[in-house]
Amino acid sequence: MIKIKNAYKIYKLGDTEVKALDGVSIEIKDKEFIAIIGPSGSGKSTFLHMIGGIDSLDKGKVIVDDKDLSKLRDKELAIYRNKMVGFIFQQFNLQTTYTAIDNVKLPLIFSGVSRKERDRLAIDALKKVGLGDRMKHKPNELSGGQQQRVCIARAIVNNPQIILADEPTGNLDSKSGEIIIQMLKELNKKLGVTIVVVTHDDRIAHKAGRIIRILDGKVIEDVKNGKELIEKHTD
Amino acid sequence: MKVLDIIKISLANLFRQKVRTLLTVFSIVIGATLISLVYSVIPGFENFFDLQFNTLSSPYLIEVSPIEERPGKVVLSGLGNAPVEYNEEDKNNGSFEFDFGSFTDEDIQKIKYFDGVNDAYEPLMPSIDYVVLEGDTKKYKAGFVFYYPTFILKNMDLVAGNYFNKEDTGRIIISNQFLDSFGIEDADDVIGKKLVLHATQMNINHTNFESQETETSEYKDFEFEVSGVTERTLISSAVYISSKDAIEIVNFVNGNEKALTDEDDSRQELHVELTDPALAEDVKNKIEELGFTATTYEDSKSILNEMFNIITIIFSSFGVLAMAVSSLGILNTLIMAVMERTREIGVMKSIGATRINIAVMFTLEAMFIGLIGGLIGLGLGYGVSEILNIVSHNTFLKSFETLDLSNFTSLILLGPALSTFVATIAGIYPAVKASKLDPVKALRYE
Repeated sequence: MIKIKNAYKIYKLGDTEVKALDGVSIEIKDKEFIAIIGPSGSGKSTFLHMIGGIDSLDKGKVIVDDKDLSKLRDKELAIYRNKMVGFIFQQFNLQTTYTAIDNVKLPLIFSGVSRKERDRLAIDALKKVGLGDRMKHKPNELSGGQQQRVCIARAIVNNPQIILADEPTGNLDSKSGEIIIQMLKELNKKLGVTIVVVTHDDRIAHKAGRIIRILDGKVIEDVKNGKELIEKHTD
Repeated sequence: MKVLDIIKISLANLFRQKVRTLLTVFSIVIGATLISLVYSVIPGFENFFDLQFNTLSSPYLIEVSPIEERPGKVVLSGLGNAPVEYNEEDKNNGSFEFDFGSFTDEDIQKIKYFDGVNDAYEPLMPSIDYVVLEGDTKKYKAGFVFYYPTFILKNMDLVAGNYFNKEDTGRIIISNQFLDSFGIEDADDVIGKKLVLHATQMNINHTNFESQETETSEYKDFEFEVSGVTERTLISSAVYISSKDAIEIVNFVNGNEKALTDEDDSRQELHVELTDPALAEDVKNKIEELGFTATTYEDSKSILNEMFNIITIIFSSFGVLAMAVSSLGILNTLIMAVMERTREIGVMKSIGATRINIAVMFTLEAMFIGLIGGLIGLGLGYGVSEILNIVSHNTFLKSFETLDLSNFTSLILLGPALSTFVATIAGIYPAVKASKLDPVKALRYE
């Protein structure tokens, strides 16, 4: 269970202040599949970063499983990011000099898993995303869709409860994007992982069980029936 | 995160930019080579001079001189200062004058009866013209004719023959290098042969002193039997004779019988033999109370050691300076690396790296640059000293086998240790900078 209480975050861009989060309060239940939509600069990514514990609030609280993230020390926060959360980025953000399997092993290295166990878990994760035959390839030897699947494998290798995806299909062609969406859906359904996706992609929004629309740092819509909202805004 | 993993990641990161890393390593190599070279070569010289020093000294020895004020003290303290007012009672009046003093029999007797003193000897250095070996016509210069007490003489190893006692007359020990001049290969061949010391008596015509006219009149050949040949030392043209013989030659050369009597005003050195080296300081203090200057074995040795320390510090400071400069290179390399890898640092943080993990990673990279550079420098420094050793012993140091220019002691590890330390320090700033990066900003970094 993720609880966001009265969250404020202001960025300064030169002289102007941008309200990335302006009094957001929201609850996300376990195993939900949520799409965050809204125009650029509306505060979607900030929302995701708060939950992921890589950004801090100016005011308010983010509570995940009764843990107030603002009260965690660096090491505890690192453990939280390592074990509880999996990040998926639009730019994939893979280590270019590492092979696919080495990229997937990285979170396991930070959590101090033994080498043997690391190999097993990384192979397992790569197989889950259908890259069992591309393990020794470096990112530049993989297609965009394959790179994003490595990124998913890296995000799920530690069996996190939450997956945070920032425009995961933004850099992909529609076919590759479709595969990624399908994978996220399956992770949610089969493994019960809570998924929060920031997206412009209607297809994802359609698959989501809940859609949150953010504008100027405020939640302006929060609906269960995804289709309705999408249609309303695409009409 | 496991230590081994963090080391592996750091090493892998280090060689991502191979050329840049190697250039940075190379800059460290220069300083480390210099330091390793210094610490490989200098201990050899130190040992060598130590050995040389020990051939003519002993822990049982205190050297005493009748000069209370060391020459130079008055002169040096006046350097650069304005002239002081003349004072009639001041002993130090005059332009440049020292009272060297001279021992008397009474002084020597007093010293001999101090607790801890075994005996006191006056070393003599008669002056001769040349030496001639039996069966040879060539004359060779003898730079030094020494009388040294047996307890000092015995510190010098003999390659052939035997030592003689204080009272033994007509026997002589020669420096090893005489064999080269005589053309004798086996030192044993010279033992028992006759060696003639040719001396000239100086008769100064005192009545004609103003014209500085000196007249040489008498010559004398002093015949000795070669008793021993020393090991090779730096004092290469010395011969050693007994006290009695030395007095005889000195008296002949001076044309009087005053040597080592109270009439002799040039008795300026005394060798005091201790019963126990541990008493050196006590005896020294007692001697100094008599108004003499006493120098113990430890005093002389500390001067020698200090000299080598200064030489070592001077040379290694060049290396340290070179390292300090190259530490700026390391700093630069790592700041560049942090910038290049900003996004990567953001990713690492978002997947579970702590600030300490990141800081340690970069610090280790710096440390490895220092360590690798230091180890290469150690190899190069030691290698150069080894080559220097081989080349020099085949050329200008042929005679001195004991002078080892390449010494692998623990001191030589100072090079890599220092380079690792300097590099690690240089890595701290970039490492802290990297660890403090805001993951959100880092992820957006283009």
